[in-house]
Amino acid sequence: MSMRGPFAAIVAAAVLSGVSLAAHHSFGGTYNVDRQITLKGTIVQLTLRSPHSFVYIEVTDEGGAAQRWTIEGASAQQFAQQGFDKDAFKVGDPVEIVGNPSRSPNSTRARLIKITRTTDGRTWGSRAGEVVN
Amino acid sequence: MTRLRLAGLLFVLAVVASHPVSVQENSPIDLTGTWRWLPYEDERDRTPGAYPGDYRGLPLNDAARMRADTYDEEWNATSPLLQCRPRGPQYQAKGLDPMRIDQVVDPVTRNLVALRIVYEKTPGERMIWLDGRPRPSAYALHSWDGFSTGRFIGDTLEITTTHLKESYVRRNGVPASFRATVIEHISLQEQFLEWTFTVIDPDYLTEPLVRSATYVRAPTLQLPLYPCQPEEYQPGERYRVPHYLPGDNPYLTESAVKYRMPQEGTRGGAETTYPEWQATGATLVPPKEQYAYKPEYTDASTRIAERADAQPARAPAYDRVETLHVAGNVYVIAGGGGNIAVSAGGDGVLMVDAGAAAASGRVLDAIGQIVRTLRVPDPPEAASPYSNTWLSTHAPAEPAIRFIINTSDSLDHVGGNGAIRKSPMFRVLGYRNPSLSLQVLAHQAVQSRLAEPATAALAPTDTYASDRYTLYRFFNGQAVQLFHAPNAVTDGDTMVWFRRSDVIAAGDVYNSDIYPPIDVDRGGSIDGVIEALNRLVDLSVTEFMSQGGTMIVPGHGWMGDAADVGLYRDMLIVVRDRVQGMVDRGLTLAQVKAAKPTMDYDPMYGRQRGATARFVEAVYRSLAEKKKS
Repeated sequence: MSMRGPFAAIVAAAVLSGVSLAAHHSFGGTYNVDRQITLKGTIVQLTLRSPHSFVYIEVTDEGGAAQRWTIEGASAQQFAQQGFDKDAFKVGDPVEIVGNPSRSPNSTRARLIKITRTTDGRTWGSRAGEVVN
Repeated sequence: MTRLRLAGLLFVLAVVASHPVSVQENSPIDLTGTWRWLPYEDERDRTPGAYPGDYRGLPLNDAARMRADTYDEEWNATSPLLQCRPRGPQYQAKGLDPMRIDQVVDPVTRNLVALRIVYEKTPGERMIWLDGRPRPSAYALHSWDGFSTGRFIGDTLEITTTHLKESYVRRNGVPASFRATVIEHISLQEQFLEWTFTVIDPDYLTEPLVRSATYVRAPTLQLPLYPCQPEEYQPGERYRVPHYLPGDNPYLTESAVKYRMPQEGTRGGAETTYPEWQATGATLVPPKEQYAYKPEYTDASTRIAERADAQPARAPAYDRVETLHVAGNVYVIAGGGGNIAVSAGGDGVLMVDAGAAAASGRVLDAIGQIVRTLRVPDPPEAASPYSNTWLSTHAPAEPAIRFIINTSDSLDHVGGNGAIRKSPMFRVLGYRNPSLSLQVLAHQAVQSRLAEPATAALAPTDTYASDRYTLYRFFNGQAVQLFHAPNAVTDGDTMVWFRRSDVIAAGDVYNSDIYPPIDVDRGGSIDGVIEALNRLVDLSVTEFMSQGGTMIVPGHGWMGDAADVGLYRDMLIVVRDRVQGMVDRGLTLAQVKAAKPTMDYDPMYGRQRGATARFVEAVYRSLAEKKKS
């Protein structure tokens, strides 16, 4: 699915609900929305905030070294409306994350599309129709 | 007939007198209430954001193109100073935010004084002053919303805004200068609010940029809370400024491919915004896939520094010395050489720097003005050991300058030392023999450098030599701390922190609108300035959403806060990295100057004669000498 659909849906939902999208910086400028990456790691910090929320995971790279990744999502309020609150995922959860990688070279940042806890399959996704299940 | 006319006139007067005075309207249209943006314009631009390199519709110059071409949006995402940066009026109308507009009415006259606009994501209230008040001093703080005045022209509200911080007109790095003026026109069409906003930017636009947005009344809408809380620095990201070196951005053709447009059209420029350009565009072929685009910059904005250098040399007149209140009991005297921060209160006057020698008379007049119009400060806490001093010496009738702290040995900062020490106002604290008392304090390097006979009268009487020094006593109810900035503009730079007022006098390591005057021969270096600015940012706090809080008195220019210092520091990091790349490739100084590594920043910081060449040379020399060592 192209990214235009979900964005338009989110805009429409925001307008209808009277809540604006935060997006201080440009997701389209920060992340390559034409590409997706999958990361497997453990949540080491979770901050639900405005303007944006973050899931920090520790990933073990091919050389066995731990690498901290910063996964960016919507504001705390938008997340909560979409079912992603402080109880959805916890520090220590092993997760698989699908995201758009940063455009910036050598960056360890990505934009959150989908997160799945690998122990029980609990999933949250930002694509149309996806919520915590 | 005469009687009839008289009777008629009396009748009319009687009718008028029998009716109540007609109601006076305070504005021709009612803008008050809550409004919601209708997002049917520029959807891609607004959400999720324009592609890198997409400058369609913008009358930008080459300096703006170069800023945007080398911009990496991750900079905006990783800097805590920028994540909560509010949108200024250069962009706010397209900012998605709902807003509320209220009237501010004078409680005595009941006249409409201002309109108050609160956006969802705003650090405070944006005031549109309608009472004809003058604009603030050129040395006043700039803010994200700026200073706005308004007037009604028929049924349209016209707003003029200046004193803006550096911001953007598109969220892919197209900048808006701190010199920009924004003119807004707001009118009503039934329940719709039509908002046209025009950015006039002498630094980055060749023509006014006119855009519009539509809002609809939303009377039951309550503005959501917006507790903007930025992400902290991640490991390895503190002081990192993501950016591309000129020619290295791989995304500059992305929008041309995706929109199937000629690359020339995506580059923007005033000519591309007129219908006549369609004929030109029709002859150009859109790229089928992205390629390594190497932009060239040739327009008039590339010659800002040359134009500045062509101006005739003029001795400064110092004929417009101004005083401003900064915060707490700290004031600034501007226009007499380097800025002078002044703490004035019951203990007397402490000056940070003394300005240029030729301005001393006006500086002393300004100190007299500050002291005579001193705002009575809040009483100190009972625990203060200096309460008695405060009570007995509060608001002295005559100004008493107790001592001077110098931030460097530059003559526009120390030139006035001699005249001020000779002034009857200079009445030191301490021993009966004034020569034994603290009079002028600076880093040891300043004293050593001024020890020559020609400048000995300007030299500090006392020095410190460590990385920080705290004044031996509270002064005017607060601690005063000095921080040495090693090898910054010179080897003797000092920043002075008034802790209770929360004001830092930065000296020349931070100047709001000129490059730092780094002098490599006096021990200065670009890395030292960046390090000093990192420290300045770390010492400072902002009130909310990257604005206010700690006030920074720059060496020259208008007052700033941590966000201003952060933007300035980031500019220096970008320039440093560009020149470093050239040094690494073995380019000579002449080749580096010819490559114009500061071309995109020169409109903002290079308008002083000779400043750009000196700055580039200083950056080059400090990096080249580091490479040798």
